Amino acid sequence: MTVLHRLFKRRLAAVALILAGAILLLAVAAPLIAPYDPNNVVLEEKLSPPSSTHWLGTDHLGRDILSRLIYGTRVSVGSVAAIIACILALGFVVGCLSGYAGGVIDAALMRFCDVFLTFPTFILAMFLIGVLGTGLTNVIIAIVLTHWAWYARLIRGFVLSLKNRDYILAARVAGTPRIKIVLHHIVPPVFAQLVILATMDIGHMMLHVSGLSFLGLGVTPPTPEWGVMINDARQFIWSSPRLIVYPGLMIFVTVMSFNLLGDALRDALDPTAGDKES
Amino acid sequence: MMRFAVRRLLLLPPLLLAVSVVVFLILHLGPNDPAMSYLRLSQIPPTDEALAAAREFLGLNKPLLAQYVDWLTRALKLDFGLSYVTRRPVLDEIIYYLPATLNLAGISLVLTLVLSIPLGMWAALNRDRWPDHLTRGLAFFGVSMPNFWLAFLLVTVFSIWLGWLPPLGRGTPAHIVMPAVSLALMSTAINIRLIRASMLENLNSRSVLYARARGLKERTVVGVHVLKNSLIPVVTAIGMHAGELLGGAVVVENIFAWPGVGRFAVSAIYNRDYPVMQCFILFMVVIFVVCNLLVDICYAWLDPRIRLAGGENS
Amino acid sequence: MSCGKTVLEINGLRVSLAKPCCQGPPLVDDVSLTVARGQVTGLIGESGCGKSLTCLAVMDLLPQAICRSDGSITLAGAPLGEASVSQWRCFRGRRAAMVLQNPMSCFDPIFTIGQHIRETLAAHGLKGSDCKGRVRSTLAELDFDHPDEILSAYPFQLSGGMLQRVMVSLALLLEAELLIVDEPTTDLDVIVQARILDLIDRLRREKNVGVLLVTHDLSVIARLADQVAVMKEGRIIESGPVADIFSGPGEPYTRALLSAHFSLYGPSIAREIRA
Repeated sequence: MTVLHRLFKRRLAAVALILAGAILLLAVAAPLIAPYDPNNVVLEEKLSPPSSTHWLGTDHLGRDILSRLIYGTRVSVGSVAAIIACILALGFVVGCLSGYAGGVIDAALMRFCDVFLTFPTFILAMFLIGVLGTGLTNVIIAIVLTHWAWYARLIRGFVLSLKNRDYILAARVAGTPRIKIVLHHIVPPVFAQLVILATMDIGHMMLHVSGLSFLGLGVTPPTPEWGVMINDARQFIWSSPRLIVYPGLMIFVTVMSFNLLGDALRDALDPTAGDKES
Repeated sequence: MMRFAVRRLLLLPPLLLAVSVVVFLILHLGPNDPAMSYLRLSQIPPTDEALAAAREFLGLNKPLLAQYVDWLTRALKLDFGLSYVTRRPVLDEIIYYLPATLNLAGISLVLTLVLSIPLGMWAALNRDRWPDHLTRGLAFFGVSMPNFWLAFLLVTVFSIWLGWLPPLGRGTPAHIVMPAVSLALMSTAINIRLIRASMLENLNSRSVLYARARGLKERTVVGVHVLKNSLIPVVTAIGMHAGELLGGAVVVENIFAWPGVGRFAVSAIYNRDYPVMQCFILFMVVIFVVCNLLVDICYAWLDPRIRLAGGENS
Repeated sequence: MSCGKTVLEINGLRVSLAKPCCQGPPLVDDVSLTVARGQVTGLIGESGCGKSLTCLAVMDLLPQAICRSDGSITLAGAPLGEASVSQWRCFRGRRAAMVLQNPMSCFDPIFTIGQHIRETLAAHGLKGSDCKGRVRSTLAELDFDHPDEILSAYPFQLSGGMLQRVMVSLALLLEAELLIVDEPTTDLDVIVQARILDLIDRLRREKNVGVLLVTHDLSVIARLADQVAVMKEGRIIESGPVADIFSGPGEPYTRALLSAHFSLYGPSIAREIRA
């Protein structure tokens, strides 16, 4: 690896960090930054082109696109944060229990996971929303239910590989209480691995949320969500294709910066894997 | 080999049984009453009597277990009931729409493999030079690109601006270009990264060192040993892509008005047409599971370590 | 050189990091060695001192980031310093064969031993039906009881010792003049170790093969080597006939190596050498 290449990688990581930071800032401070109320309908101004009052123009109901994009960050980032938190919590409990307890508990939990892994994720999520109904909460529930089993499995794998490491055996021989071994020697390294994985999955989850919303099976209008905005804009693709470009670009940039961040994080925390894959 | 395949096959029925239980439970423990949907879609005012009659008619008054056994025995006879909307057997509807979806997913899978294998190899063989950077950049682009957005961009450029390709429908080969490209992009990008990584790992392996020490031609070393070993993970990945493509097909069909089962399912979900939803998800699971079974068998066939040890584990 | 003609001569070999422009810090510096026909030259030193890199340089198999920056390598009188890529390839396997450490990882797991042997012979222009008979008789010669079973086996079905003998059999089949043996005893149990060392001994006596034996194990050197070179931090610090080095080491490092060894195994080997 050349020096130049290293520098390039670092710079990419820095760019990813800045972008992800900016997106988080947009999400948190949306009401302060957005010039208009994202749901303010002004029919007289509908489909107006970019101007000094509306930097990116307005949509078919005369709502300010820029404001809707900024508020959309909130929905995307917020829902993915909730999803990741739930998946990690669920996966962590099941995975650690399964890996550390072993035996019948392990076998039962893993068979249960296997059933969930048998479904194609996006299709199961669609089905769940069909049953539960649309809306942000249900989207979160559906995506958590379709993805937790992958995490439970991976976490179990980490725990199993750690369990037989010499230092854990040494701690056991030394008479360290079980709960202490788990908390001190198993949870921290597993957690580090998880942070990498979760960061790399953020983009994937966002694509799920916006994909479902685009189909009308996720977040429902008038909530400013990027997938919803693309769906709203599709009828105007012949007249004003720019309406589709903006929200898609937001999804693309957001997903890309979190993907980059995940790669950079993995390279930083797990140098061997980085050498092999990227 | 046979033993491995048989063992894998024997695992299927219990798994599918468990899947059917999960699907059934999700539907029946969900917050909505199928009888209500039935009445709504039949345009019957939901009075208490009508609701009771619908429950009776749909068998919703029986205990849950009896309902499940009922449903399963009929499903095993390939009777999935009638659609609440069209009043036609659900199975006939699904089978009517399925070929279009399989057509789209199949073409996309072929496209994925045809694009990703050479590109991944090219990147690995030129590690840290411009082809590598270019390919990795493309792959990175691909994993971050929402397929529905790409689809619209393609429509804008190739149908609206250039007028080269039809924006909707199915029929001529030109119709499938944009749907297949939008669907294949994600799996192509994932595959490129996978192939590149496994090629690099194999190129640095000791067996390659020894192959060179034996005086084999570089063409043999890379073209036979490295390539064959690197394609094994690709075969495994096809199973994963199958799920990705089936899910993505729903979105892409919706955009391009591709008359597939995904578009049909989305409208069934809007309507809460429960029998269709049930049959759709079971079909998708079966297709997904069968793909993975085939992949596992191919994998065992390609890798003697699995084939010859397969009897004992997994 | 006590007897026979020289099969390998390395002169002033230097191996450096490829960046920048082969001018990086040398990993192997000013290494000169000779291996005579029918003789074993031992190369000894601790792990990481550049022994394996020296072997790889002889085969022109250095990793991409490392290159040979100086020195000459001559095999059976033919200088190979300026040879083309395809000449190097013909030289590998045919005239100089290698037996690598960790034999379990050296074979392609999805090809049978028979396929490995066949493709190697084919790469050096040996094909046809008489090859089959020769392969069988060579394997039998190397104490394989059922050559046909070995040929149809996959690498993971054989033990490390067996795979090592397969490597030796390839050298025999191609009638290599030089055999480079890298750490032949690592990861093997004692009986298998003895067997491979016997085999190397037989090759040198019966086939008149020159052997470059790389190891960190002094007892292996004591048992087989005629000449020995001691390597430390990329340089050869001492070399000569094995008896001289064992009885009167000149360098403090060699002395330390020997005394460390004797404190582990007792002085019996030293006595053996002196006798």
